[in-house]
Amino acid sequence: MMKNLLNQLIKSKTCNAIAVSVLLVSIAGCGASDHGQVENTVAFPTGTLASLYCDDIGVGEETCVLDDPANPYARSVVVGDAKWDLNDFAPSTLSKFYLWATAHVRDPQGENQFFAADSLHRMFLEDSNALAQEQAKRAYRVVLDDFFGSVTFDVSENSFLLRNWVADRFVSPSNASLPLLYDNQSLALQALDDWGYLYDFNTSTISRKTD
Amino acid sequence: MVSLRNIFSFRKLSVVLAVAMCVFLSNAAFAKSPQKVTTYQDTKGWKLKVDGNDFYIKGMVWGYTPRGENYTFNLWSQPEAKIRKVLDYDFGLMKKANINAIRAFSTIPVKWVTYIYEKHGIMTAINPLMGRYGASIGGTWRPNTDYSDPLTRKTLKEEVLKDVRKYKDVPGVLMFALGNESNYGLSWKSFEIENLPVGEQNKKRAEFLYSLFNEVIVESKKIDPNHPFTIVNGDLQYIDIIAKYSKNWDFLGTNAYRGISFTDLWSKAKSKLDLPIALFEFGSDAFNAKKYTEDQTAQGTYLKGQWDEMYSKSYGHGQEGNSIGGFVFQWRDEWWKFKQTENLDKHDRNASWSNGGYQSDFIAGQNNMNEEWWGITRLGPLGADGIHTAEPRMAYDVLTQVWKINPYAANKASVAQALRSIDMKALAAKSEKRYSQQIAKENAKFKVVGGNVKVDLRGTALSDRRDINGDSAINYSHGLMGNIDFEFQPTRNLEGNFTVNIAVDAAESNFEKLYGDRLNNDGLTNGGDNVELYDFEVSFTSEGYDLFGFYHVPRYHWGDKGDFFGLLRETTDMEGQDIWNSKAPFGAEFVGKKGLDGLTIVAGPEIYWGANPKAMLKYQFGKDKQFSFIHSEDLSVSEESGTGTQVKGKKARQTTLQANFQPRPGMDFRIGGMISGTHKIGEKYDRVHNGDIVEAKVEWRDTLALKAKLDWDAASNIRAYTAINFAGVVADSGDPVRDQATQLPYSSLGNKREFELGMHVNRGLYTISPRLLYRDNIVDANPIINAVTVGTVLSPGIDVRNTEDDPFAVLGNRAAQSAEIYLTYDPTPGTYFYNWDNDLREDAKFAFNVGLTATHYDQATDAAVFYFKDGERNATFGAGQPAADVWLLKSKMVFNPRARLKSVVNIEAGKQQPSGKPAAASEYYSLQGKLILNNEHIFSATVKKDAWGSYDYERQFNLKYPEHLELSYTKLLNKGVSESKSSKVGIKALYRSLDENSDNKYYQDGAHDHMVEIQTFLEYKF
Repeated sequence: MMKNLLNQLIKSKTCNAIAVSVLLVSIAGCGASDHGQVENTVAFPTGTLASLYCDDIGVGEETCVLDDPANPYARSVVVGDAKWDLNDFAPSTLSKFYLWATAHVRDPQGENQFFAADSLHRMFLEDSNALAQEQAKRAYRVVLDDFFGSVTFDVSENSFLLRNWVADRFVSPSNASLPLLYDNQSLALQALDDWGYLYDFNTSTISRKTD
Repeated sequence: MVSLRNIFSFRKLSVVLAVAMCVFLSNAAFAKSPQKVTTYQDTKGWKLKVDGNDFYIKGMVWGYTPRGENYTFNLWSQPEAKIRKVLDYDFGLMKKANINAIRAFSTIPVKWVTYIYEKHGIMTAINPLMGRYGASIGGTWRPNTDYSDPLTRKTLKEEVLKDVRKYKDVPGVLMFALGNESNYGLSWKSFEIENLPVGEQNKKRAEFLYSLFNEVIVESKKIDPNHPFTIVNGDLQYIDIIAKYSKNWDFLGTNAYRGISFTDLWSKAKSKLDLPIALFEFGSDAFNAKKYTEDQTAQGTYLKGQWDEMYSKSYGHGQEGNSIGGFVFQWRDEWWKFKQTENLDKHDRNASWSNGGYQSDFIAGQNNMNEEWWGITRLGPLGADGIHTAEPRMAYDVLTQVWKINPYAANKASVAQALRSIDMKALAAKSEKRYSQQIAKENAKFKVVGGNVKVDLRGTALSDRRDINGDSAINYSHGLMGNIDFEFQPTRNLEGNFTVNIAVDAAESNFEKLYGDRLNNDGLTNGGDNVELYDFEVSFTSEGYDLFGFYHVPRYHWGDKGDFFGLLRETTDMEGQDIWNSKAPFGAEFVGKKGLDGLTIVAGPEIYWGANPKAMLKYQFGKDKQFSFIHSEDLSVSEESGTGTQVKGKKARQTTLQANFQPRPGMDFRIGGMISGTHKIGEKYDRVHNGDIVEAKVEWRDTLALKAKLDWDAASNIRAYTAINFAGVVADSGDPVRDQATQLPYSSLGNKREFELGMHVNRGLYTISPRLLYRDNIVDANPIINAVTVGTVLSPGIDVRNTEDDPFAVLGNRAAQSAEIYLTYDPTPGTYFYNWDNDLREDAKFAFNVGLTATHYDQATDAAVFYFKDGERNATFGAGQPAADVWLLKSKMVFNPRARLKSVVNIEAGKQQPSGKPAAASEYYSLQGKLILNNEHIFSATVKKDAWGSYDYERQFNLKYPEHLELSYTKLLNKGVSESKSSKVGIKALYRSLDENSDNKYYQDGAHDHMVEIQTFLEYKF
C-alpha cells in the first residue's frame, strides 16, 4: 500500500520537482553540525589598553566587550565564585579588566562594575595609560549612579558599601596604593559635586546631594 | 337545591355530546392522520394534491438562528416554552402571509411538525441531507462524502429509511426531499457558498450520487406510499444523469438562482424529464452590492417576477405546466452565513459570490450575492419575550399578495390580472416608510452601537493584619470603568468600528491582574490614561484589492492558508493583553484581487502579540492556490516587551515555499522549505564535541528547514498522519498549528530533527488518537564548565547559551521522546468538540475527552531569557532546565443534562517543569467547573493543588501555591443573551495558601501563610 502511495506521489511532476529541490536543500542544511574550531585554550592578552574596542567598553550597559577579540573571557562562565578564582589567577591587569567587564555584562551589579573600574585605575597606575584613566572615571561613576546601594564582601563576609570605596578612589586613592585620577583632590571633589554627590571627610562616606 | 337532572336533561346532554363528537372527530381527522400527498398529471400539466385537494406549494425556507449564533444553534434543544414562542411568533407571521409549507435544514422533531400543522396549518418538507455536509461512516466522520463507497451508500440509505419510517405517519408531513445541492458538493471546497459550478466536470462521481438517490427513493416508497419523494438538486446540472435515474421520483426539486426569470428551466426540464418541478430555493438577496445599501425594492421585484413566472408555468396556463410551487429562500436573515464562525453578531455586508442573473447589482468580475441578506424579513433585535423579531421587508408584503392568489383558479385571466394588480409602488412606499422608521438608524454612517459600565469592589487580605513593613495587609479598593462602541460607514466601501474606554478608577487585586492596572502602572510595561482608544478596525473594499486596518482586534493565523511554518501567529487573547496594556495586533493588510489575486501583504508595528515591527508578503498560486510563497521580515526591534514574561525579540527574517497535493482521494500531502535567520550567518557559538570546546560560526545551511506531512485514510475508520520537521540551528519558524488538543512538545525553534506519527481511530461515537513524537537536536545544549587559568593560558570553559547573547539556544526544542493518547467522545459532531468555542456551543447531553501525554527529556536545556522590566532589558536565568520525565493528563467534560442546564468541567494533572527558572519537574492538580442554569445563573469553582499561578510569568519564575480555591456566582440580567453580552452582577471569593515556593510579595519570608480576596461587580451593558 505504501508503495502505491509513493508511486502516486512521484507521478506528480510538480510535486516531484519541489519535493526533490526542497529535500536536497534541506538535507544539506539539517545534517549534524560538524564545523568549527577546537578552542580548548585561549591566550591572555598582553600589554595594556592600547585602544578602546568601543567607546563605552567596560562602562554601564555596553556589551561590546563580549565581541572584543582580545577578551579571553568572552565565552567563559564569569559569575558567582568562579570570577574570584579567575581574578586571582589572571596574569595581567588588562586580563582582570576583561574579566570584570565581562562579568558585568553577564550579571550587571555594582561589584562587577567597581572591579572593572578598579582594573582600569590600576592600568593607569602601571603605565599612566590615559585611556584607562578616563575610562576608570566613567566606570566608577556608573557605580554611583546605578548601584548606589551596592555592597561587596570580604572573605569574612563583612559587607562594604561600594560607593564609599569609589569616593575613596577619587579623593584618597593612595589608601589603595593608587594614583589620583584627577590632577588634584579638589578637582576630584568638584567632579563628584558636579555629578550630584557630596563627600564627607569626617566619615569618609559619600551621599547624594538630593538626600 | 337544583338537581343535576334539571341541568343536564337527556336531550340537552345528547346535543352536547353530538357537538363534542363532531368537534372531536373533525379534529382527529384533521390532526391525527397523516396526509396523502400525490402528484396529478393530465394534458394541462402537473399538480400536487394533499388528500385529493390541489396544493400549490407557497413555501418558505425557514429557520431560527439568533444574532451571535451560527449553524450550531439548535432551537429544538431549547425549553419547550421557548420553542413554542418561536414557532407561534414566526408561523403566526407566515400564516398571515398565506404560506402553506416550509422547508428547514435542521430536522424538525416529529412533535413540532405536527404542532406547526395543527396550530398554523403549515406543512413541512422533510429534508434528510444525506451526507451533503459530511457523514459518520463506519464510525468515522467524513467531511466530504464519497458516494461511490459501498459502506457510505449503505449507511446513508439506512439513515434515510430510518427517517422515512419515523415521519411517514406524522401529520403535517408534505414530502421527503433528499440532499441539498449535493451535486455542487462534488466540486465545492467548503461549506460556504461559492460561485455556482459551470458545466458538468464530475459526471463519474455524479453517477454514483444520483444512482444512490434513486436506490434510496425506491426503497423509501415501499415504506411510505403516501408521500412524494424527490431530491434537492443544484439547478439542472447533470439533468441527463438525473433523467436516467429519476423514473421512480415524484418530481424534481431544485435550487435555482437565475435572477428574475428561471429562463429555460421549465422547458428544459420538460424536454428531459417527465416530472413536475418544485423549487426548493430561489429568491433574491436584499442588499445591493453596487450601491452598498439595503435594497428591499429589488428583492421584492425579483420575487414578484419569479412568482409571476412560476404561476404561468403551472397547471392549466397553456405553457409547460410543470411548476408545482416552491420554497422561497428565505424567511429571515442569517447573520452567521459569511465566515460562519466570525462576526456572528454583525450583519455582514460582504458579497461572497457572483451571479449575473441579478443584474440590479451585478458588475462583471465582482461579487454581488450577500449571503446574510436573503430574508423576506430582517433579523430584528430581541423582543421582550426573548425572541428575535422578524421585521418584514417589502418582499413579505409582495408575497402576501401573491400568495392570496390561487394559480389553479378556473379563470386563468383572473390569475394574471390579480398578479398585475399588485401595487408594487405602494408596497415600495410602505417599505420605505417602515425602513426610515425602524431601520435607517441601524444603517447610519456613524453610530453608537453599545457599551458598558462596570463597577468593581474588592477586599483583599494577607493572613496577618500587617505586612512585613508594618503596613496594613487588608486593603479595600473599587473600580469604575466603561466603554462605548462605535461603528462607521461613511461610504459604500469603507466601514469600521472602534471602542473608547474610560477608566475612572481601577480596583486592585492580589490575585488577578486587571485591565485597570494600567492606571496604577502595576505590572504593565507602561502607564495608561483614563481615556483610551481600546480597539479599532477599518476595511476598504475595491475592485482590485481590499485593505484592512487593525488595532487590538482578534486576528487569526494563516495555518490553513498556506502558512505551513506558522509564521503569522494568532492573536486572540485580548483580555490577556489588556492586563499588560498591550495593543496587538496593530497593522494593516492588503489583499489583492483580480490580477493580484493570491497576494496578501500585512505589515505594522505589532502584527501579532509580541512581534517586532514586521512586514509579511504571501503569494498563493497554482491550482486551488496549492503553492504558497511567504516572506517575513522584521523591520526593527520592538522597544518594549509586550508582557511581563515575553522577551524583546531579536530581528527575524524568514522565507518559505510550500505546496499542497492530493495524490489521491483521501490523501493529503504538504511539503515546505524555509530559509530563516540569515542575518545570523557568521555569528559565533560554542559547543562541546568529544570533550573539546569548539567555536563555530552560523553558516548558510544552518538557516534551512524542511517540513512535510502526509495525511491519509488508513482504513474506513482510521485517519493517519506522519510528519517530519528538520530545521537548521537558527531556522526558527512560528507557532505550529496543533491537531485537536494535542499536548506534544512542539517548538517554533530550529535546531531539530523531528519525526511524528499519529492517527485518529473512530469507533462509533468515540475517537482514539495516539501520537508519537521523536526529536533530536543538531547541536545539544551546552553544559556549564568553569574557566580555569593554566599558566599563561586560559581554559575558557563553556557556558549555557541563551538567545540574548548567542545566535540560538536549546530550549523548548530540546531532544524529546513523547507519546500521547487521547480519547474523545463526541456524539454530536455538528458541534465539533475541538472548536475554540465548543464550551459554548456543544449540545450533546454528554461529551468529553481525556488524554495523557508523557515526555522523556534526556538532555538539559540552555538558559531561558526573561524580560527584566526594571532594567528594560533581557536577562538570563543563568542555567538550563535539567533532564526530566514529565507527563500531563487533561480532560474536558461538557454536560447538557436538560434544556438550559450546561456544565463544563476541566481537569488537569501533571508533572512538569517551569518555563524559565531551572527546577526539577513537580506535580500539580487542577479542577475547574462551571455550571450555567437557565442562561441566567452561572456558578463556577476552581480547586488547584501545588499549581503555578494563573499567569505565564508565574510558571516562568516557578511561583506555586500549595492550595488555590475560587468560588463565584454570576447572575445574568438580560434574557436570551449570552454571558459575554449580558449585563450581570456577581461575587467571587478566592483563597490561596502560601509557602516558600509562592510569590514572596505575599509570602514575605514566612510572615503570611495564606491570602484571601472577595470581589463583587456590577456590569451594565447597553
